[in-house]
Amino acid sequence: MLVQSLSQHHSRHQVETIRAYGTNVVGIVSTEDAPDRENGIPVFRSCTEAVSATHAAACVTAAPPESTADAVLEAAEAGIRVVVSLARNVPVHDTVRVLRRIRELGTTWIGSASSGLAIPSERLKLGWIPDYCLRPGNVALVSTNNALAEDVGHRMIAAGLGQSIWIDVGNAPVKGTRLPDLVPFLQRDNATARVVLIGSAGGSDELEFAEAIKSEGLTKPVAALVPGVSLPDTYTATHVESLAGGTAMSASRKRAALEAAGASVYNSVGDLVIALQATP
Amino acid sequence: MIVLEHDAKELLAIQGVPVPGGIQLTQVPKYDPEQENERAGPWLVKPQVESLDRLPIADIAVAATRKEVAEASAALLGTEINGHRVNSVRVERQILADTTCVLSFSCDPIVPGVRVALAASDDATLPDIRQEDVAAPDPSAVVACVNRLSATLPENLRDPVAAAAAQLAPLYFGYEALQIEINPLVVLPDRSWLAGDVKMIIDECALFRHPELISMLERRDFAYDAVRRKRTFGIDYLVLDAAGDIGTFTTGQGLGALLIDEMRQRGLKPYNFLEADAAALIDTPASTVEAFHLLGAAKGLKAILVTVFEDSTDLTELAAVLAQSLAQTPDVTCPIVMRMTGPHADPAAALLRDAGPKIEFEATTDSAFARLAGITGVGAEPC
Repeated sequence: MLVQSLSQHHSRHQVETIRAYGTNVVGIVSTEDAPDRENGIPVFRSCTEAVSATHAAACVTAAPPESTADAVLEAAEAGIRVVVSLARNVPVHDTVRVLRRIRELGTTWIGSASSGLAIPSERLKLGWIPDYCLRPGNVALVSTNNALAEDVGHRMIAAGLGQSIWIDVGNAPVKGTRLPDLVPFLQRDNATARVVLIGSAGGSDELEFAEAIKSEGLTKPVAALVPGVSLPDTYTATHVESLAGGTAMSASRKRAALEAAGASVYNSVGDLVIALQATP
Repeated sequence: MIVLEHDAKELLAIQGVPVPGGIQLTQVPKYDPEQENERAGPWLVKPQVESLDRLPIADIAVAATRKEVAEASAALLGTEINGHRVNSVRVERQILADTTCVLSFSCDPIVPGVRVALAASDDATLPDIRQEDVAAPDPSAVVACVNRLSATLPENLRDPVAAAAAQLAPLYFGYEALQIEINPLVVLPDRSWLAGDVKMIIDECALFRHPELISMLERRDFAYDAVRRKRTFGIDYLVLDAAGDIGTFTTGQGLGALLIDEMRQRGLKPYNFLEADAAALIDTPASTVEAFHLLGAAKGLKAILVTVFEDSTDLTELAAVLAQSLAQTPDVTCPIVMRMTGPHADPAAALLRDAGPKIEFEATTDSAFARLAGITGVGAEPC
């Protein structure tokens, strides 16, 4: 994998944690005045140059919000198949402007505002998901809410459970990959026996996921946590980066839709993890 | 973020969009009977609140005289609607029209693109709404879409709708709006049009490219409490239950929302939701001071719950900021129950204890809730 737009000290430290986890970082893309190698990793001036030299297929971009969309587009045009973008607060119109082209190029964009994607059994981590939340297992953990997902992951490990894959699609209102887009993969992935969905108070991903359970025929059990039932609908719509859906996006409605689709919806992280333990 | 109707109309009017003449009042106008002119009205007195929901009709007053404007303003200013304080009202000339329709452009996150919605009447039911998604991020494609949809509208609406679309589509993209909805779009007898009401949502993440919007928010920061707190301090704050007795302060929006849910399930009474990013709190200690000021000003609290769950933030840095901020906010007198998880949690707790603040540390959410139940139980008095 490549790491793109590495500029901050924090990001450099995180790259070291990715390598320490076991992920093969083959190059860094930086347009800054950087040395040819950083901690032994070759530094390239463009994604095209990096892909040509390394044949990397995946990329994590740490570009700032205002240049994230163009960074992801550059990676896609260079031939990268999977891009994880980490920055929060990417302007919505920027994402709208590039997303169709990125899809046409066949690139999967996880983000923006994603904490990452990980496959613990392969020691693969694209992003900043903490190691102490990751352990090989048969639960696919998908989320729009990275902090809550990390709390769940942390307690799963303590309970002896682990993940087949972890995908945080981020909580941006317009995103490269939405939760329902993952459903076909979750159904066919042999390493996944069940799914944990960690939702958010805003957005509509969880409603669409509920519809996709039925339309895509997801037969694996789904356990879900959707916070925000106690928050007023106007709050979830105004403050959690939801778009113009108003009360249609309330946590209560999402929970009801998921339950109607056959998912088990829990009230707390503890209840969710206990239920996972009870059905290995 | 929602732009208050008055400001949205000002922004659009500057760009040539026709709106009813109006002014904004932040205090009750002095009434002078000598200035009364029976023929000057009627006016609408509309409360301005940061709420996405349309205002209930009952909250909009029709005033025939200046005296009634003053009375309606007095009745509205300082009240709360949909949980938001009314800091200002817009007084505008009432337009009486027989012919109205609705035109809306909003961001469709799934296509993604622009969802164009058009209805022949401002009380249209869902089947009457003509709707289409436009994938091309381009004003001319949006205008073409409106013209396609309006082909089925009554003939007298088509030209005004086309004119409105031609003016509004470039503004939707120009302001990087997430929604511009004109409801009602008033069609006048000469077939010109007027934006009777405007709902405008803009993307806070794109503000850095819009100095005119930043300037408006800075000029009118008193009217945008939530935005000011978010922009200045990175804080999301909302009073959930004025009768609640537990103040909350969390890092992480989802964790904070779940915490509130769990507290209510346990019979605890959270007063508020307050969330901030831990790294931002460290970078801007004034944010923590502001957070504690908000909680210190709340009446009736018996305890404050602070929860921190961080993967990479050094909690000793955060603890230092919390300790300094508590020292600067003597109005916080309640016992504080804290759950901290993350790097260096133990030395962080020791640092807070050494600094003096009276904080009870709990290892789990469950034990924190049990502690809060004990503090706020029967007979406990507010701080």
